[in-house]
Amino acid sequence: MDRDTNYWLRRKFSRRTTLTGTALAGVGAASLALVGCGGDDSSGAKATANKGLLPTVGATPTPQKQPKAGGSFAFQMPAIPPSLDPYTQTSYQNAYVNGLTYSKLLRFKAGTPDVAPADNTMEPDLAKAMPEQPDPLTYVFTLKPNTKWQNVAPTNGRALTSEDIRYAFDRYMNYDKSVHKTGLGFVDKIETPDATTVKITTKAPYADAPFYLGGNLGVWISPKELAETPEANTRMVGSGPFIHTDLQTGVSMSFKKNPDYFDKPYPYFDEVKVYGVSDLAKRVADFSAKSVDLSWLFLPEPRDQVKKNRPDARFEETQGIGGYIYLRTDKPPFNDKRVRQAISMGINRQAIADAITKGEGVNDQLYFVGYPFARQVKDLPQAKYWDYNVAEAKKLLEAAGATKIDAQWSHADVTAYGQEYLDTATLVQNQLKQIGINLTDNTQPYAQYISTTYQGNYEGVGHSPRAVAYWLDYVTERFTMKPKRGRINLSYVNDPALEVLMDKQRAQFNMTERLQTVKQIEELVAEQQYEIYFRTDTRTYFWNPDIQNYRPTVWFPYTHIMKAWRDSA
Amino acid sequence: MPAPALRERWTALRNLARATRREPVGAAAGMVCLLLVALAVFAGQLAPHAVDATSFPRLHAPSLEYPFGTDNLFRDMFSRIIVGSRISIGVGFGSVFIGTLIGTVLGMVGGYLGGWADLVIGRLLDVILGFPPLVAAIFFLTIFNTNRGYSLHSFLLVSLAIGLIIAPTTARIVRGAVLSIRTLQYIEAAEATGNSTLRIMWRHVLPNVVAPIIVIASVQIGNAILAEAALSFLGLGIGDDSHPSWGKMLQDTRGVWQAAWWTAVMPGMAISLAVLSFNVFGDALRDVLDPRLRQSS
Repeated sequence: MDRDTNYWLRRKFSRRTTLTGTALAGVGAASLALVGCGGDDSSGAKATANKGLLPTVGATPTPQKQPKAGGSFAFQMPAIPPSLDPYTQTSYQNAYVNGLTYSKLLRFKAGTPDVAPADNTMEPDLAKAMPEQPDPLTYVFTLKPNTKWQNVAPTNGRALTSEDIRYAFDRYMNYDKSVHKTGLGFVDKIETPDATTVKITTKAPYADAPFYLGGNLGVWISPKELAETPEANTRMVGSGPFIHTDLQTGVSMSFKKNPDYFDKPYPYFDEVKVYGVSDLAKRVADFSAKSVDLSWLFLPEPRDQVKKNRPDARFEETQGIGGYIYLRTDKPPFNDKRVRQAISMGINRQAIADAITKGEGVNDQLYFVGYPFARQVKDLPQAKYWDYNVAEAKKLLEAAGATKIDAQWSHADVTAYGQEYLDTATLVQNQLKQIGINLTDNTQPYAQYISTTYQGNYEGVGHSPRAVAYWLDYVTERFTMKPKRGRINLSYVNDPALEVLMDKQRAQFNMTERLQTVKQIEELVAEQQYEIYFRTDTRTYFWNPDIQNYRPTVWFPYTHIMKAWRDSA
Repeated sequence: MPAPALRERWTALRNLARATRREPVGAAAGMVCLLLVALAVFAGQLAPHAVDATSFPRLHAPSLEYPFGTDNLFRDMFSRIIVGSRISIGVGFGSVFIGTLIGTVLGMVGGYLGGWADLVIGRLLDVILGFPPLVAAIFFLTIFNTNRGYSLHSFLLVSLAIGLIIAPTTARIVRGAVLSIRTLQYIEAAEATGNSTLRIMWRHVLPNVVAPIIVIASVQIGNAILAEAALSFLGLGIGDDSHPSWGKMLQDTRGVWQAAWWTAVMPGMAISLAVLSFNVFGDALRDVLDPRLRQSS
């Protein structure tokens, strides 16, 4: 058979040529494209001048404009929550969307230009005013007269009464699958003398009660009609400004305006769309292409890309997200504080910052260093444990008789907390090898991580980003063993001295006195290294310039979207 | 050495030389394939630095000291690409072995037995082929490989996932070859002399379909390497920090591609080179082993 006349024989040569040519051309084109894209980093110059940036604390006055109702608003968050049931979830992802549909007794005032991102001032939500406090144990809330559930099944617009509040708190505190039991452990009883009055009595004086009741853990008022059905995992029905209309699992959520919202004139937007986008590059691309109105949590590298791509966008840098590791301090070898101190000294935090945040950020400690009251690590008497000192770390391990440690390091996969979280894990694991600690990486899908490791079901070491707490007493949930392990006492800390201090500060309504106790807690935890903290970073929020009356808040609930409007609506 | 053995060896060498002359590009690709396999086997000895050492400058461009540059986590990319060949090539061969085994068994059973067996196997293959291959692998791994990371368990699961998506192609080719063989006289003779079905398939059918199996397997290795890279890029592979894979290297450095082109190009080139080499080599092997093509040259 002649090659020249037979198609299949001729095809042999041309196919190979095509194959070779296509592959080489592809590699070449990719290389050229990437070379062409690289190198220009001039937009980062201004930002990197702010190394060690601490949170913006000042208010930003803006000229008052007449609000315009209508239009839609789309924003991105890192992921869509795996379940929407507020009673069984603690995720920050839930907190973002809960605020659109659910209400609370109180809410953060944050989110408008006159409130700084880290200002944790509360304002009434379902309550008519801030609570009356007849004695140190009692808080009396009076509900607004027109509070009602959204006019969708199963609540169908019925009135929201104090009984609904009592039901919600009862479920948070007693439902066997609730993950908020220890957090609300300070509540003794809830009484409802009439339909609009809720009387909460605490077991002991608790200075943080209003912050906890207006926060985002175990306080969203979700109706009985929904809470006790399987639908609670996939649907939200509340009394908040937006009605949840659709959930595309893992992809997006849709909301429409609640026309019967009790807090007029809010909300202004007709529709809100939330996209779960864990891929940072996609977040940059989407915001650059104006596909969404708001996107946030950008680290310095992508921040500079967005600034370059969208010079028109408004932005604000806020206090960042720190990371930390928790360890089984109830078991060898991590029950020895010298081992924990050695681990802290074996971590090169500056290298982490150089690799991930262009060197920006500062070392972090128990009380987030961005708080006005918290000390910078360098000012702690135990600051040496944050120094990268391999020789000293080895000495400590030798003294503890633990020169070679093998343990597991469990953490979530990239979808939940981003590549920088995994990069930190990689770097720290490698750094700790230098001092003889070999950590086997155990990457878990987010749902698995949050329901196992993050509930304390792990061995060795766990790794998590840290949310910035809005109440001083968040330490109790981290470290208490009374009456049982605190919700996020993931290090299994059982320290009577710490318990005494935590008890003490809870009852201190005088802030000056309380901060003295807080300082003692800071130092005790710094000495013990019950949790080992890395660095804070800076996170930037970007939003479209036609969005008005909006400002970022570091407190997760996004209720305040209701106060924003679009100029072009 | 006895004369017949010597003669046989010379014949083999002559055949190899003839094939090389006839398919110089394929021979070169074969050499690259051999080098890649050697690289994977001796990666530990060849890598100049430990893959998890983080003591180098960050994002250093390729230079004499760091031929492929360094990545965003202070690691030497040359060493990581060398060691990364273990997973990429290893999974490539592992999955092709599994896929070829499954495909050959299904193809032979379907082709030789015909009837209901052929019908059932054919529909099963249709079902598998109905899914986009990568989606099917992701689906499989999401369900079964919950403990991701570097382990034999994960290696086998990833190899099985890729093996399952390449098995139908092998099965169809083997079935076609078996259908043409089963009507030949020597098969009828074997049946007439009372050989069992299993024995006929093993002794008479299989040896005669080995050539197409080798060809399809060699071509599939490239596809398997590409699939492994894709799965690793999506976080479903078996690599971890101490056991890099090329796809995971791309994933790990995605945030710095714009600032450091080499972090994308070097692993990308490694994948392209491996895929290209195995595909071209497989193509050439087909030409050499196919008697129709051999006659025409």
